[in-house]
Amino acid sequence: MIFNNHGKPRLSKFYQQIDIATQQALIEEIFSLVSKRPDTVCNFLEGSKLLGGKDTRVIYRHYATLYFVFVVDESESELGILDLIQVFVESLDRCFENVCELDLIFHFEEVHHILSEIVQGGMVLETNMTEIVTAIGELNKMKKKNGAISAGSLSLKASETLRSSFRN
Amino acid sequence: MFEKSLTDLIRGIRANKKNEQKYISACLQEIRNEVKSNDLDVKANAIAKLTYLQMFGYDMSWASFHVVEVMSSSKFLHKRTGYLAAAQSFQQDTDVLMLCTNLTKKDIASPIALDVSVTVNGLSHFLTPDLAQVLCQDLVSMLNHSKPYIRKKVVLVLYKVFLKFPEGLRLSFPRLKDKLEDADPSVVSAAVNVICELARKNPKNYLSLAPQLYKLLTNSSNNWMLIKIIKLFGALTPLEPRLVKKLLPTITSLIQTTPAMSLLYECIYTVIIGGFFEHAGEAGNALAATCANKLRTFLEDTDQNRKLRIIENGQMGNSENHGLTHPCVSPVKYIGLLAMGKLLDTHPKLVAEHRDLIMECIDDADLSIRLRALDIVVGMVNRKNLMEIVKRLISHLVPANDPDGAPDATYPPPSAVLDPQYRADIIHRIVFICSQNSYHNVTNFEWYITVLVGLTYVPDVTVGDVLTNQIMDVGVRVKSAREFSVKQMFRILSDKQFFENVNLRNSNIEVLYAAAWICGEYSRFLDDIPATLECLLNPAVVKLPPATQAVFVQNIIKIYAYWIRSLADDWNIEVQMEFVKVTEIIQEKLTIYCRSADLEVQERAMNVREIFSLILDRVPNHPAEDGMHPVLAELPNLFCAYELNPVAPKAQKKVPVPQGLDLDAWINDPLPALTDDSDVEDRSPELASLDFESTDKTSKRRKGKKAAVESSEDEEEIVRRRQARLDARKGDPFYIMSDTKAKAPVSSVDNDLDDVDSIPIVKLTMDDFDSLDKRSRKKTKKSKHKSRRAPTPPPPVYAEEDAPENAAPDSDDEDQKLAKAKSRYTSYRGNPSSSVFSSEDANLHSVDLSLPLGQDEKLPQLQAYMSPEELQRREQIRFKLEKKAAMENKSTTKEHKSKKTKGEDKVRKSKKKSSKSEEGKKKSSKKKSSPDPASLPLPPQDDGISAVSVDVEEVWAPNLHSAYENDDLEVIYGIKLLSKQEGDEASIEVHIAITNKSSTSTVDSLQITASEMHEFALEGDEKTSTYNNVLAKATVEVVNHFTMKHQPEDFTSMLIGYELQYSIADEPNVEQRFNLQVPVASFMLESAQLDPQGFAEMLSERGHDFSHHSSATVTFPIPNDKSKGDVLTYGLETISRTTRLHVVEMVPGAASLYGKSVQGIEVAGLLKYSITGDEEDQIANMVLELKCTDDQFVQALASLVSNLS
Repeated sequence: MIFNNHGKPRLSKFYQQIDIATQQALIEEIFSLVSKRPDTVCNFLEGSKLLGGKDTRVIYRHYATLYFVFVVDESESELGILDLIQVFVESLDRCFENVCELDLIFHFEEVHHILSEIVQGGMVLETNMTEIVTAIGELNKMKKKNGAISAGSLSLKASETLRSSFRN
Repeated sequence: MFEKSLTDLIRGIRANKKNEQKYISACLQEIRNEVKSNDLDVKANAIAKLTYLQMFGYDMSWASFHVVEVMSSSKFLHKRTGYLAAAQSFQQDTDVLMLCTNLTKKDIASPIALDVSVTVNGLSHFLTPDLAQVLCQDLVSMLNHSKPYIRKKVVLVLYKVFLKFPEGLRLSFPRLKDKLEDADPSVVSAAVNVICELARKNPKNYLSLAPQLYKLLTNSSNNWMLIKIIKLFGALTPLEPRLVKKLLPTITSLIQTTPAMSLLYECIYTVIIGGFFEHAGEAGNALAATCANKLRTFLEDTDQNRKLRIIENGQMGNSENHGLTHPCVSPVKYIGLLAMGKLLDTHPKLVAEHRDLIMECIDDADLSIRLRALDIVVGMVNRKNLMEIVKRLISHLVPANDPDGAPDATYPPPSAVLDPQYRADIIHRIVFICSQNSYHNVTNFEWYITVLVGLTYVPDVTVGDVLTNQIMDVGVRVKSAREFSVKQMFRILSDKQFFENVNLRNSNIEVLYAAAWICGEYSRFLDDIPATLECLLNPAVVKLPPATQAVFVQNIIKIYAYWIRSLADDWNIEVQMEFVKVTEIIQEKLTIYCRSADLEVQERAMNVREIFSLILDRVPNHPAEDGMHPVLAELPNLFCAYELNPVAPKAQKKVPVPQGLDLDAWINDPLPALTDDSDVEDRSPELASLDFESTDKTSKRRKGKKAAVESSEDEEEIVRRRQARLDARKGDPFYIMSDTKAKAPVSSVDNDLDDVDSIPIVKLTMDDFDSLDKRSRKKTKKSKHKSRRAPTPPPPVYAEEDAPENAAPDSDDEDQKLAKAKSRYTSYRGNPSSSVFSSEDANLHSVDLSLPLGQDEKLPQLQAYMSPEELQRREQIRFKLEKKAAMENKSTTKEHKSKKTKGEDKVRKSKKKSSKSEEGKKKSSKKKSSPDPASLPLPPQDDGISAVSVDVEEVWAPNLHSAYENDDLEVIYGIKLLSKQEGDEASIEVHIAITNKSSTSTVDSLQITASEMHEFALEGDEKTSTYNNVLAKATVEVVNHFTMKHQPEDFTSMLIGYELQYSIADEPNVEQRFNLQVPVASFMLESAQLDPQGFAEMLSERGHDFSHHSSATVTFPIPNDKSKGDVLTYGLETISRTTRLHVVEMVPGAASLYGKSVQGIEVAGLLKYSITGDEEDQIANMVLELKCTDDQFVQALASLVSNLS
């Protein structure tokens, strides 16, 4: 899941079916755990009450205004997941060209799709960034072809202009 | 046209920060309208918005049907939105998932790779057991898809399939195995990933893959995959130690050469947990040392800005210029500690070498690191370092500005110190490390008690219970520390400040329980008895928990009793005066307890008060010479009869079983009902003996009651009996004697006074045990594995543990060693808390891949899932053939075909018979109006079911109902719809068959008249039909046609009233009225059929028209001789026949139905079933959920179904 410095979720993805109330509670709890920690401490966390179990670990990275949080069990390597977050962020970066929080907000679907190229059903699908970016590129091509007249492309354009206006 | 796009919504939310809630609910309202739109663009947009809102916790389960609609769009963009929404919002029990079966099946077979990828990705989220079963075959065959992009996704989704459909694993495992050798590295990586997941819980199955994995390990350069393979080997090696030898060189070289931290760490970690050291012999120790040294570098790592480049070396770009910055915090310290903790189990010495570093980590600013370090520290404790470690831990509990706490430069930030959970954890750990192994590591108990008392004052933690237990335990066990602990306890008791805390939620007020008890029990160490008593009578005590209050009361009298004894030595008049005064004060103050709402406290307080008044009565308030009153002399003996000792954990087991005592035999034969309780039978002999003992313990109390009951008996008789009982008990080793004179230091007391015995720990004496016989000793020996003897190192004087003196000596060294080894390294475990993640994979792990596939094991291939076109073609062929056969049959025997139901048969017969006697007009009308149901032109499109064949002919034959029956006649009727298409005038044909039930007499004349028709009108004029001479067992038939004049007010009760008159021989005419119920289903059009696709399209286009809902439940018992399938088929048929809804599509567990009435009312139904009941009599529950365009109609239809059972 991704949330910003104020605990506002920017993206949440659950690979096990959890009812929506619990999802929100989880986000809140993890945010309260993570946000307390200064940047200088390590990126691993345990002891979430809701998650329970010694095997579940919260691994997070803090980028500017955003926290990228992965909750994993013992079958994942902690350092590996840290790198995976990095891969994810850099993929976002390539896809959005200098990604910032606003990109994630306004392209919430995009982010989901990018994530789904990296992790599928709770398992890591691809760690090679080139592959990921290619896949997304293909998706976008398809989208442009397909949605030339649809509302989707209009909104895309709108947000494109919006984004550039934010930049300037 | 003017709907908000997702971007508009997001922007809107951001613009309305003040009243976000209101804005969103307005948007939700819009969305509710938009999803009903016919424009898929609008719908998809609405779903996308919903998905966004879902992230903020807005439920979207109500829209799941619309999600499916969007998923089924042919446009890729819509599809993607739909699948994303489904992945985010569907739960296992989302019922529309049943509608997705065909959709997903179609989508994964799509020629467009992206469609497939979107579908597969979606499936990995919302797969259900049913979907898994159906799609398994397709997915497995897609493992050979031409694009690696798809292949890797399919490999991953297969894991989810196996979770839901464990049988699939066995069947498709060989194919999965092949993927380990796929040409594309991503696919291989995905396959490794899946196998790693599978092997986590049941590694045994995957040993055979070791050679392939080993090859990958040596050849691959994908670090991510290497990590997974190493992890996998970590799970395999414990099962196959020979692997270690093979792996050792590779892993060692990896450890020494890899630049990637994560891989290095994973190697070390696996080496540790995979048991490499044990199996590698000499090399193992060297390896362990290497690992420990590598880990040390982890711990020493202080470079907080190290860039980690582990995965895909060189792939990661420099990200300095990006919108997001990348502060890379060194995480390796944490990891290092984690691995160290594991290493501790096997090589504690190696870990101990790095104690300095680990201790530093305890003071690390990072809570995660500290907790990890604590884990290790807890395992590292020994006698030498205990005090130092505990001191360090305690420093975490006391705020830095506290003068008692040691101010430290690296002191943790206040936020961490104030976290109550963390501090409670620390306290638990302190208690754990000190008390483990029966205080093996504690050398100075006075220090320990100081620590415990100090811990009591730690604010905001609730550890009172633990501390209470510890203090009492140490007090009882350690003789030499008793004096000190009494002093400390007195300090607590007299601490007014501490009493004030009672109202705080997280105070450790429970410790007062221990304080009072220790002061009372070891009152001889008290310096100032009156002061102690005063503390115990502090008016603040009423706020304490009742259990503590009860202990207070009891210990007041105990201390008081000791006081009397200490006064006894120099008893004089002054002392007596003083004594009386104090007693009076105590008695007066005691009233605070007497008023307690808690019964226990009140009862004890009253008892004590009575004792005081007894004393006050006896001891005069004025000077008297006769010294101490005997009452006073006796009182102390009540409480100080003997010393209380801890009972050794093994004591009970060491009690030999006397000859002739069968512990397994019932003392009382159990009641029949109770024998069912399995745990009663499962009780071990030890437990049984404990039971036995406790019965005896209570028998004393019962004795008193019994005596009261028998009060009418002779006083002497009672005494005699009591004596007899006591004598009998003397020889009984299970009776706990509380008054053994041999042990008691000063005991000249009357035995009966001991009944007041209230000392919480019962003493087990062994003086009276018979000499043991060897056989029974052996028997008891067997059962002592778990407990260990408390070691008694010389410096602290422990109270000796009570044990039966004839018990077997503790010579079983092996047990001891085992227990020691076990206990030594038991690391502290926090309370296991429940997890939100349910374990769903239990079944999967029971799959055994080592067995070869059986003949009968095949992936399910449901015929129902042929492509619709193919299905249609086959059905047409079948239909043609049938029609042909029907034509042939018709020309020969008419009945032959329609012998489906008995009633129908009857009607046919009667037709033939009656036709002879009927007038020509009737005949012709019949010919015109009752075409053979079989020859009705079936629409070319069948209902598309071949897996379960619902016989169309049978469904559309008129349902026969009984209208009336008496001794003479039976009237049966059936109703058929004549209208052929929607919009026609609703006209029905009513067949009435009247049978003469008698086998002898003839009905002379019979007349039947349609009298009341309500909303119907009779076609033609012939209201009345008359028959003469209806022979025995003969049947006559009446056919009337009605048209509906107007919509009925109530679809549930459409009636046609008939009058029936008949006469038999000489008997008088009988007149009878009866009503024919016209079921609402009679108006369902036979031709209104849809194929699954049409159904889906119809629902997506006009789904919102079906706004009226109803549901009905029917249950069908499943007889033993019928299979579930038969019954379910029968159930489906029955429901379909009753409601006249066509079966559109069947999927496992459900069927969809559709029908349209002649009035144009449409009904869509979803039939689900579940099987309940035990093996013997199972019941199939079928739930029919109906959606309809008319409210009344659907209610009536549902009630038809409800009435079925």
